[in-house]
Amino acid sequence: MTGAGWHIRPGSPADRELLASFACADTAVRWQAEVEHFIQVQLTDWAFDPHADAGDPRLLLAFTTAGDLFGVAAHERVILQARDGTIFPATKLEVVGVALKWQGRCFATGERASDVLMSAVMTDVGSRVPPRDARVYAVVHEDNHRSLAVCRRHGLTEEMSRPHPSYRRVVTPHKER
Amino acid sequence: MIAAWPVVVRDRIVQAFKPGVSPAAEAPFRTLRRHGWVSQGVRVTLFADRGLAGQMTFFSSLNVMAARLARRGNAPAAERVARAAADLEAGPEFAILRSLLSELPDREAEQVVSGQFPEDGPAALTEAIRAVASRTEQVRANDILLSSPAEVVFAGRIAEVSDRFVLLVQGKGTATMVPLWMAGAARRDRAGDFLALVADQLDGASAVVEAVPAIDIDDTPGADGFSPFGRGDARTRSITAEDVRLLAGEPQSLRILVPVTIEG
Repeated sequence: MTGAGWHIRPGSPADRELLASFACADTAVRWQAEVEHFIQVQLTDWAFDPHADAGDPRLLLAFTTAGDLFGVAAHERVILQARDGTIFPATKLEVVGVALKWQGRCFATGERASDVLMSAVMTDVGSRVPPRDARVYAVVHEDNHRSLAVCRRHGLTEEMSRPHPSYRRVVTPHKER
Repeated sequence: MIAAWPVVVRDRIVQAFKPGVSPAAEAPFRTLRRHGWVSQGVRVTLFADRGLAGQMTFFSSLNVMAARLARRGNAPAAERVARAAADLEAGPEFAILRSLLSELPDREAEQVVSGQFPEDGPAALTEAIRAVASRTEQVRANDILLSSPAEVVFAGRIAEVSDRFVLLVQGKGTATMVPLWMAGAARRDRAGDFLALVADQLDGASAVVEAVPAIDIDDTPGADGFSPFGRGDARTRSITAEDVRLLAGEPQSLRILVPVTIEG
């Protein structure tokens, strides 16, 4: 389907070559380079790993109506587990990358490219069958202010513990039971 | 290592020299200048869509220490530290930072100097601030004057936030409570933020305690093999007891800003 200036489709194994040329990083910045490297080199294998079906991994590609790939995103179902054995089903945003020339840019209708991509991710999470738990989280480098801002705009406003001193883990909020 | 924010505006230097006076006061700053207790600073020409948007001067944070030394009556030390600040400001790290600040729109350069990164700011800006902070810490470590017992810095990461306090934890595990309003004034009041408390001795049992933004200058993710991607690192899925409490409620509905249809 076509939006105002974009269309989104799930990725397929045939997209490996397309992803290999996707540029979204200043490669001099290590944490940016690792995002780009993951998308270019590992994401297709991650998305179509036959041993990972249980997690329902999803790869989404966002194109302009002119056919330019402006965004790549992926997510899957995971189980968060505490030491005492407490578990929570959740969705991990594996990666969300906006092409270099689209970073900070909007479509003619005013929507930011990053918001379109992130909305596609949230829409996809919300439409999975069987339904996903509404807990959605992302692991983001603490210097990646742009991605942290996108996460905040899309409701990942709560801060969990850090999986690594340099990486923040942000999650959608919860109401008191 | 977590270090205090390495650049400051003039106001902070004035307040270090004359606590309690208006930070905009001209006379104290003129005194500092006249005696060589403050460096010249780095001037940035700011541009906006329609051309020049004014100028801003920022300083090495070492000047704050020079001002404190001057206040305590140690003029030779104040002069020496101000010269160290001037050397830093003439170095390549400040040149890169100055160049990046001049490219920022509107008042974002001022925000950066006061400790805030713009949401859409270039990643290189973080690296530039980190480089200046790292160089500043090297200078401090190599100069006995800059580790004065009259000034104690407690820098760490905010581990918890309550309605009145934040819990500030150092890397080695020691912690202190900081009033939420102090952390908020330093624009560091969320879990995960870096904050520094500077206790500046006034006399035997009293001090001015200032909350200032901080930054982690050890950018070494990956050194222990961590990757946020893939399924191999269980740290991305393991949670703490505090996380359990956070996640225990009913998840709220997902927020979708832009109506989007996905093919297939």
